Amino acid sequence: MFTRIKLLLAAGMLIAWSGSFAHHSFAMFDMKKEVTVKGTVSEFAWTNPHAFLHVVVANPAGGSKEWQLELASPNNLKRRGWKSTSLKPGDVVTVVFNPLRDGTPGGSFVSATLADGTVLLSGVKPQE
Amino acid sequence: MKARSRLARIPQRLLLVAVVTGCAVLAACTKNTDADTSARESTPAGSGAAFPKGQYASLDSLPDWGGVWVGDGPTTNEQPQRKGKYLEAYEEQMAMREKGIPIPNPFSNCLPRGMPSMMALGVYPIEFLITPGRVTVLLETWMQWRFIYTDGREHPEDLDPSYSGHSIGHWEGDTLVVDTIGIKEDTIIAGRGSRQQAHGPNMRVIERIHLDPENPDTLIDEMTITDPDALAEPFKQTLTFKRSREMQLAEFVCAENDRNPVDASGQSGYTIK
Repeated sequence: MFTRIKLLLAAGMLIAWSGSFAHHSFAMFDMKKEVTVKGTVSEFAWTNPHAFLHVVVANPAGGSKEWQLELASPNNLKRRGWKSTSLKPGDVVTVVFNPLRDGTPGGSFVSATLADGTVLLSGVKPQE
Repeated sequence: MKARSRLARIPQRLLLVAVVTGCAVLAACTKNTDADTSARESTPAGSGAAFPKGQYASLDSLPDWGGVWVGDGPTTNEQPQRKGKYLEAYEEQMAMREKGIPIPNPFSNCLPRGMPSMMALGVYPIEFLITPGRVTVLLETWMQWRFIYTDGREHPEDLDPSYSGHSIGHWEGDTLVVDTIGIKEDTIIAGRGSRQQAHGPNMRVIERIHLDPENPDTLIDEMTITDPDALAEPFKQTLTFKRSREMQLAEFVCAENDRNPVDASGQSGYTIK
Protein backbone atom coordinates (compact mmCIF):
# COMPACT_ATOMS: atom_id res chain seq x y z
CA MET A 1 0.00 0.00 0.00
CA PHE A 2 2.76 2.36 1.06
CA THR A 3 4.66 1.52 -2.11
CA ARG A 4 1.56 2.18 -4.18
CA ILE A 5 1.14 5.60 -2.53
CA LYS A 6 4.80 6.33 -3.18
CA LEU A 7 4.35 5.30 -6.80
CA LEU A 8 1.31 7.51 -7.19
CA LEU A 9 3.16 10.37 -5.56
CA ALA A 10 6.07 9.85 -7.93
CA ALA A 11 3.70 9.66 -10.91
CA GLY A 12 2.04 12.89 -9.81
CA MET A 13 5.42 14.55 -9.56
CA LEU A 14 6.32 13.18 -12.97
CA ILE A 15 3.34 14.98 -14.46
CA ALA A 16 4.02 18.12 -12.43
CA TRP A 17 7.64 18.26 -13.49
CA SER A 18 7.31 17.12 -17.08
CA GLY A 19 8.86 19.49 -19.54
CA SER A 20 11.71 20.09 -17.14
CA PHE A 21 15.04 21.28 -18.26
CA ALA A 22 18.39 19.56 -18.72
CA HIS A 23 21.75 21.14 -19.45
CA HIS A 24 22.11 19.46 -22.84
CA SER A 25 19.99 18.23 -25.72
CA PHE A 26 18.41 14.77 -25.48
CA ALA A 27 19.18 14.10 -29.16
CA MET A 28 21.89 11.59 -28.18
CA PHE A 29 19.30 9.33 -26.54
CA ASP A 30 16.73 7.23 -28.38
CA MET A 31 13.75 8.61 -26.47
CA LYS A 32 11.34 6.30 -28.31
CA LYS A 33 13.10 3.21 -27.05
CA GLU A 34 12.98 1.92 -23.47
CA VAL A 35 15.41 -0.69 -22.18
CA THR A 36 14.74 -2.61 -18.96
CA VAL A 37 17.56 -4.38 -17.13
CA LYS A 38 17.94 -5.96 -13.70
CA GLY A 39 21.25 -5.57 -11.95
CA THR A 40 23.21 -4.35 -8.96
CA VAL A 41 23.98 -0.71 -8.23
CA SER A 42 27.74 -0.11 -8.42
CA GLU A 43 27.63 3.69 -8.02
CA PHE A 44 25.09 6.43 -7.36
CA ALA A 45 26.70 9.83 -8.00
CA TRP A 46 24.66 12.63 -6.37
CA THR A 47 26.25 15.35 -8.49
CA ASN A 48 25.50 18.34 -10.71
CA PRO A 49 24.61 18.96 -13.45
CA HIS A 50 23.24 15.39 -13.42
CA ALA A 51 23.14 12.53 -10.96
CA PHE A 52 24.38 9.21 -12.37
CA LEU A 53 23.42 5.63 -11.60
CA HIS A 54 25.76 2.80 -12.53
CA VAL A 55 24.18 -0.64 -12.67
CA VAL A 56 26.10 -3.88 -13.28
CA VAL A 57 24.09 -6.47 -15.18
CA ALA A 58 25.30 -10.06 -15.22
CA ASN A 59 25.45 -11.75 -18.59
CA PRO A 60 23.98 -15.31 -18.45
CA ALA A 61 26.72 -16.40 -20.87
CA GLY A 62 29.37 -15.08 -18.48
CA GLY A 63 30.82 -11.71 -17.58
CA SER A 64 28.83 -8.54 -16.95
CA LYS A 65 28.05 -5.14 -18.40
CA GLU A 66 27.89 -1.82 -16.54
CA TRP A 67 25.26 0.70 -17.62
CA GLN A 68 25.90 4.35 -16.69
CA LEU A 69 22.59 6.18 -16.59
CA GLU A 70 21.99 9.89 -16.36
CA LEU A 71 19.32 11.39 -14.07
CA ALA A 72 18.13 14.93 -13.34
CA SER A 73 20.15 17.20 -11.03
CA PRO A 74 20.17 16.47 -7.28
CA ASN A 75 18.25 19.75 -6.71
CA ASN A 76 15.34 18.52 -8.79
CA LEU A 77 15.52 14.91 -7.63
CA LYS A 78 15.43 16.09 -4.01
CA ARG A 79 12.33 18.16 -4.67
CA ARG A 80 10.73 15.05 -6.17
CA GLY A 81 11.35 13.12 -2.98
CA TRP A 82 14.72 11.54 -3.77
CA LYS A 83 17.63 11.41 -1.31
CA SER A 84 21.33 10.95 -1.93
CA THR A 85 20.80 7.56 -0.25
CA SER A 86 17.75 6.54 -2.32
CA LEU A 87 20.03 4.13 -4.17
CA LYS A 88 23.16 2.55 -2.72
CA PRO A 89 25.91 0.31 -4.10
CA GLY A 90 24.79 -3.28 -3.68
CA ASP A 91 21.06 -2.52 -4.15
CA VAL A 92 19.38 -4.88 -6.59
CA VAL A 93 17.29 -2.79 -8.99
CA THR A 94 15.26 -3.11 -12.15
CA VAL A 95 15.94 0.02 -14.18
CA VAL A 96 14.23 1.43 -17.25
CA PHE A 97 16.07 3.91 -19.46
CA ASN A 98 16.24 5.46 -22.91
CA PRO A 99 19.51 4.16 -24.40
CA LEU A 100 22.19 6.15 -26.18
CA ARG A 101 21.78 5.96 -29.96
CA ASP A 102 25.43 5.04 -30.57
CA GLY A 103 25.33 1.83 -28.53
CA THR A 104 27.55 3.12 -25.73
CA PRO A 105 26.35 1.53 -22.46
CA GLY A 106 24.60 4.63 -21.15
CA GLY A 107 21.20 6.21 -21.24
CA SER A 108 18.65 8.58 -19.81
CA PHE A 109 17.13 7.16 -16.62
CA VAL A 110 13.34 6.62 -16.58
CA SER A 111 12.66 4.59 -13.43
CA ALA A 112 14.10 2.15 -10.90
CA THR A 113 12.23 -0.52 -8.97
CA LEU A 114 13.92 -1.65 -5.77
CA ALA A 115 13.75 -5.15 -4.28
CA ASP A 116 11.02 -4.01 -1.83
CA GLY A 117 8.86 -2.74 -4.68
CA THR A 118 9.63 0.97 -4.21
CA VAL A 119 9.54 2.77 -7.55
CA LEU A 120 11.73 5.82 -8.15
CA LEU A 121 10.94 8.02 -11.14
CA SER A 122 13.16 10.67 -12.67
CA GLY A 123 10.46 12.74 -14.30
CA VAL A 124 12.83 14.32 -16.80
CA LYS A 125 11.33 15.02 -20.17
CA PRO A 126 13.49 16.08 -23.07
CA GLN A 127 13.55 19.58 -24.47
CA GLU A 128 14.09 18.47 -28.02
CA MET B 1 55.23 45.18 49.87
CA LYS B 2 58.19 44.80 47.57
CA ALA B 3 56.53 41.85 45.87
CA ARG B 4 53.30 43.79 45.44
CA SER B 5 55.07 46.73 43.76
CA ARG B 6 56.75 44.31 41.36
CA LEU B 7 53.37 42.79 40.57
CA ALA B 8 51.89 46.22 40.14
CA ARG B 9 54.59 47.05 37.64
CA ILE B 10 53.85 44.04 35.39
CA PRO B 11 50.49 45.24 34.18
CA GLN B 12 52.09 48.60 33.35
CA ARG B 13 54.67 46.83 31.22
CA LEU B 14 51.96 44.78 29.59
CA LEU B 15 50.00 47.93 28.97
CA LEU B 16 53.04 49.50 27.34
CA VAL B 17 53.54 46.45 25.13
CA ALA B 18 49.86 46.47 24.32
CA VAL B 19 49.93 50.16 23.43
CA VAL B 20 53.02 49.78 21.23
CA THR B 21 51.55 46.69 19.50
CA GLY B 22 48.19 48.38 19.20
CA CYS B 23 49.77 51.41 17.56
CA ALA B 24 51.65 49.18 15.14
CA VAL B 25 48.45 47.32 14.27
CA LEU B 26 46.53 50.58 14.03
CA ALA B 27 49.19 51.98 11.73
CA ALA B 28 48.95 48.88 9.56
CA CYS B 29 45.16 49.12 9.56
CA THR B 30 45.28 52.80 8.74
CA LYS B 31 47.61 51.99 5.88
CA ASN B 32 45.23 49.27 4.62
CA THR B 33 42.29 51.61 4.95
CA ASP B 34 44.18 54.15 2.87
CA ALA B 35 44.81 51.49 0.24
CA ASP B 36 41.13 50.48 0.24
CA THR B 37 40.06 54.08 -0.03
CA SER B 38 42.27 54.65 -3.05
CA ALA B 39 40.86 51.49 -4.67
CA ARG B 40 37.36 52.80 -4.04
CA GLU B 41 38.26 56.20 -5.38
CA SER B 42 39.50 54.62 -8.60
CA THR B 43 35.97 53.23 -9.12
CA PRO B 44 33.96 55.80 -11.10
CA ALA B 45 31.11 57.42 -9.18
CA GLY B 46 27.83 55.55 -9.54
CA SER B 47 29.42 52.26 -10.53
CA GLY B 48 30.27 50.83 -7.11
CA ALA B 49 28.06 49.31 -4.43
CA ALA B 50 24.55 50.70 -4.14
CA PHE B 51 24.01 52.89 -1.07
CA PRO B 52 26.68 51.10 0.98
CA LYS B 53 25.77 53.02 4.13
CA GLY B 54 22.17 51.94 4.49
CA GLN B 55 18.85 53.71 3.77
CA TYR B 56 17.06 50.54 4.88
CA ALA B 57 13.93 52.48 5.87
CA SER B 58 13.37 53.11 2.16
CA LEU B 59 12.53 49.40 1.78
CA ASP B 60 9.55 49.40 4.15
CA SER B 61 7.04 50.50 1.53
CA LEU B 62 8.07 47.90 -1.07
CA PRO B 63 5.96 44.79 -1.80
CA ASP B 64 6.62 41.41 -0.17
CA TRP B 65 8.62 39.33 -2.64
CA GLY B 66 9.91 37.02 0.10
CA GLY B 67 10.44 33.29 -0.27
CA VAL B 68 11.71 31.73 -3.49
CA TRP B 69 9.95 31.68 -6.86
CA VAL B 70 9.63 28.70 -9.18
CA GLY B 71 9.23 29.66 -12.81
CA ASP B 72 6.48 28.26 -15.03
CA GLY B 73 8.65 28.98 -18.05
CA PRO B 74 7.29 31.00 -20.98
CA THR B 75 3.49 30.95 -21.26
CA THR B 76 3.69 30.34 -25.01
CA ASN B 77 6.18 28.81 -27.41
CA GLU B 78 6.02 31.91 -29.54
CA GLN B 79 9.29 32.86 -31.20
CA PRO B 80 10.63 36.36 -31.91
CA GLN B 81 10.34 37.77 -35.43
CA ARG B 82 13.98 37.52 -36.44
CA LYS B 83 15.61 39.21 -39.42
CA GLY B 84 18.79 39.16 -41.49
CA LYS B 85 21.52 36.64 -40.70
CA TYR B 86 19.83 35.85 -37.39
CA LEU B 87 16.69 34.69 -39.21
CA GLU B 88 18.77 32.65 -41.69
CA ALA B 89 20.69 30.96 -38.87
CA TYR B 90 17.49 30.19 -36.97
CA GLU B 91 15.73 28.74 -40.04
CA GLU B 92 18.77 26.61 -40.79
CA GLN B 93 18.72 25.25 -37.23
CA MET B 94 14.99 24.51 -37.33
CA ALA B 95 15.38 22.73 -40.70
CA MET B 96 18.02 20.51 -39.11
CA ARG B 97 15.67 19.72 -36.24
CA GLU B 98 12.93 18.78 -38.69
CA LYS B 99 15.33 16.27 -40.23
CA GLY B 100 16.23 14.90 -36.81
CA ILE B 101 19.75 16.33 -36.98
CA PRO B 102 20.87 17.74 -33.62
CA ILE B 103 21.51 21.50 -33.77
CA PRO B 104 25.24 22.10 -33.41
CA ASN B 105 26.14 24.22 -30.41
CA PRO B 106 29.91 24.34 -30.02
CA PHE B 107 29.79 25.83 -26.54
CA SER B 108 30.31 24.15 -23.20
CA ASN B 109 27.14 22.73 -21.71
CA CYS B 110 28.23 24.31 -18.45
CA LEU B 111 27.85 27.87 -19.75
CA PRO B 112 25.08 29.75 -17.93
CA ARG B 113 21.94 30.70 -19.84
CA GLY B 114 22.27 34.44 -19.33
CA MET B 115 19.61 37.04 -20.10
CA PRO B 116 16.85 36.87 -21.05
CA SER B 117 16.21 33.11 -21.04
CA MET B 118 17.74 32.74 -17.56
CA MET B 119 14.43 34.16 -16.34
CA ALA B 120 12.39 31.71 -18.42
CA LEU B 121 13.68 28.43 -17.00
CA GLY B 122 11.03 26.48 -15.20
CA VAL B 123 11.71 24.09 -12.33
CA TYR B 124 14.74 25.82 -10.81
CA PRO B 125 13.86 28.52 -8.25
CA ILE B 126 15.01 32.13 -8.09
CA GLU B 127 15.14 34.52 -5.13
CA PHE B 128 14.97 38.32 -4.86
CA LEU B 129 17.11 40.15 -2.31
CA ILE B 130 15.88 43.71 -1.98
CA THR B 131 18.47 46.01 -0.41
CA PRO B 132 18.89 49.80 -0.52
CA GLY B 133 19.69 50.86 -4.06
CA ARG B 134 19.79 47.35 -5.50
CA VAL B 135 17.60 44.34 -6.19
CA THR B 136 19.63 41.15 -6.51
CA VAL B 137 18.14 38.15 -8.28
CA LEU B 138 19.76 34.86 -7.34
CA LEU B 139 19.13 32.01 -9.78
CA GLU B 140 19.84 28.43 -8.82
CA THR B 141 20.76 27.21 -12.31
CA TRP B 142 24.48 27.66 -12.82
CA MET B 143 24.36 29.83 -9.67
CA GLN B 144 23.76 32.98 -11.71
CA TRP B 145 22.91 36.38 -10.31
CA ARG B 146 21.49 39.66 -11.59
CA PHE B 147 22.26 43.01 -10.01
CA ILE B 148 19.48 45.50 -10.70
CA TYR B 149 20.63 48.94 -9.52
CA THR B 150 17.79 51.06 -8.20
CA ASP B 151 19.95 53.93 -6.90
CA GLY B 152 19.34 56.12 -9.91
CA ARG B 153 22.55 55.40 -11.80
CA GLU B 154 22.70 55.11 -15.61
CA HIS B 155 24.22 52.29 -17.67
CA PRO B 156 27.99 52.76 -17.97
CA GLU B 157 29.19 53.93 -21.37
CA ASP B 158 32.01 51.40 -21.74
CA LEU B 159 30.04 48.28 -20.93
CA ASP B 160 31.71 44.87 -21.11
CA PRO B 161 29.11 42.35 -22.35
CA SER B 162 28.16 39.76 -19.75
CA TYR B 163 25.68 36.88 -19.42
CA SER B 164 23.39 38.80 -17.05
CA GLY B 165 24.03 42.15 -18.72
CA HIS B 166 23.84 45.49 -16.87
CA SER B 167 20.52 46.26 -15.23
CA ILE B 168 19.11 49.47 -13.85
CA GLY B 169 15.66 49.64 -12.35
CA HIS B 170 13.13 51.78 -10.55
CA TRP B 171 9.92 51.19 -8.68
CA GLU B 172 6.63 52.38 -10.18
CA GLY B 173 4.38 51.69 -7.23
CA ASP B 174 4.66 47.97 -6.60
CA THR B 175 6.17 47.26 -10.03
CA LEU B 176 9.92 46.97 -10.53
CA VAL B 177 10.80 48.29 -13.99
CA VAL B 178 14.13 46.92 -15.21
CA ASP B 179 16.23 47.94 -18.20
CA THR B 180 19.01 45.53 -19.19
CA ILE B 181 21.67 45.98 -21.89
CA GLY B 182 25.24 44.73 -22.42
CA ILE B 183 24.24 41.10 -22.89
CA LYS B 184 26.70 38.69 -24.51
CA GLU B 185 25.66 37.74 -28.05
CA ASP B 186 25.59 33.99 -27.36
CA THR B 187 22.66 34.01 -24.94
CA ILE B 188 19.45 32.54 -26.36
CA ILE B 189 16.46 34.91 -26.59
CA ALA B 190 13.68 32.36 -26.27
CA GLY B 191 13.00 28.69 -26.84
CA ARG B 192 15.71 26.47 -28.23
CA GLY B 193 18.43 26.88 -30.76
CA SER B 194 22.15 27.35 -31.01
CA ARG B 195 24.00 30.04 -29.16
CA GLN B 196 25.57 30.95 -32.49
CA GLN B 197 23.94 34.02 -34.11
CA ALA B 198 21.61 34.15 -31.11
CA HIS B 199 21.16 37.93 -31.07
CA GLY B 200 22.95 41.21 -31.69
CA PRO B 201 25.15 43.33 -29.42
CA ASN B 202 22.45 45.95 -28.81
CA MET B 203 19.67 43.75 -27.50
CA ARG B 204 17.67 45.48 -24.76
CA VAL B 205 15.35 43.79 -22.29
CA ILE B 206 12.69 45.80 -20.46
CA GLU B 207 10.86 44.03 -17.65
CA ARG B 208 7.90 45.02 -15.54
CA ILE B 209 7.96 42.71 -12.52
CA HIS B 210 5.07 42.69 -10.07
CA LEU B 211 2.86 40.42 -7.98
CA ASP B 212 -0.34 39.18 -9.59
CA PRO B 213 -3.10 41.45 -8.23
CA GLU B 214 -5.37 38.37 -8.15
CA ASN B 215 -2.86 36.17 -6.31
CA PRO B 216 0.10 37.57 -4.33
CA ASP B 217 1.84 34.16 -4.49
CA THR B 218 2.26 34.58 -8.25
CA LEU B 219 4.93 36.89 -9.64
CA ILE B 220 4.61 38.23 -13.18
CA ASP B 221 7.52 39.37 -15.36
CA GLU B 222 6.28 41.20 -18.46
CA MET B 223 9.28 41.24 -20.75
CA THR B 224 9.82 43.23 -23.94
CA ILE B 225 12.95 42.47 -25.96
CA THR B 226 14.22 44.73 -28.70
CA ASP B 227 17.23 44.16 -30.94
CA PRO B 228 17.91 46.49 -33.91
CA ASP B 229 20.10 43.88 -35.60
CA ALA B 230 18.27 40.60 -34.96
CA LEU B 231 14.57 41.37 -34.43
CA ALA B 232 12.08 42.76 -36.93
CA GLU B 233 9.78 43.85 -34.12
CA PRO B 234 9.87 43.86 -30.31
CA PHE B 235 9.34 40.44 -28.78
CA LYS B 236 7.03 40.34 -25.80
CA GLN B 237 6.65 37.47 -23.40
CA THR B 238 5.06 37.08 -19.99
CA LEU B 239 6.80 34.89 -17.44
CA THR B 240 5.09 33.71 -14.28
CA PHE B 241 6.54 32.35 -11.05
CA LYS B 242 4.94 30.58 -8.07
CA ARG B 243 6.02 31.44 -4.54
CA SER B 244 7.39 28.91 -2.08
CA ARG B 245 8.03 30.07 1.47
CA GLU B 246 9.71 26.76 2.35
CA MET B 247 12.04 25.99 -0.54
CA GLN B 248 15.66 27.13 -0.47
CA LEU B 249 18.08 27.65 -3.31
CA ALA B 250 20.53 24.77 -3.64
CA GLU B 251 24.08 24.69 -4.94
CA PHE B 252 24.56 24.00 -8.66
CA VAL B 253 28.18 23.56 -9.73
CA CYS B 254 28.07 22.35 -13.32
CA ALA B 255 31.77 21.45 -13.41
CA GLU B 256 31.29 18.95 -10.58
CA ASN B 257 30.45 16.01 -12.84
CA ASP B 258 29.84 17.20 -16.39
CA ARG B 259 29.95 14.08 -18.54
CA ASN B 260 28.70 15.74 -21.70
CA PRO B 261 31.67 17.08 -23.67
CA VAL B 262 31.01 19.06 -26.85
CA ASP B 263 32.99 17.96 -29.91
CA ALA B 264 34.36 20.09 -32.75
CA SER B 265 31.14 19.68 -34.75
CA GLY B 266 29.15 21.10 -31.84
CA GLN B 267 27.48 17.90 -30.71
CA SER B 268 27.17 16.83 -27.09
CA GLY B 269 28.80 13.53 -26.21
CA TYR B 270 28.36 11.15 -23.32
CA THR B 271 31.39 10.11 -21.34
CA ILE B 272 31.54 6.63 -19.88
CA LYS B 273 33.79 6.55 -16.81
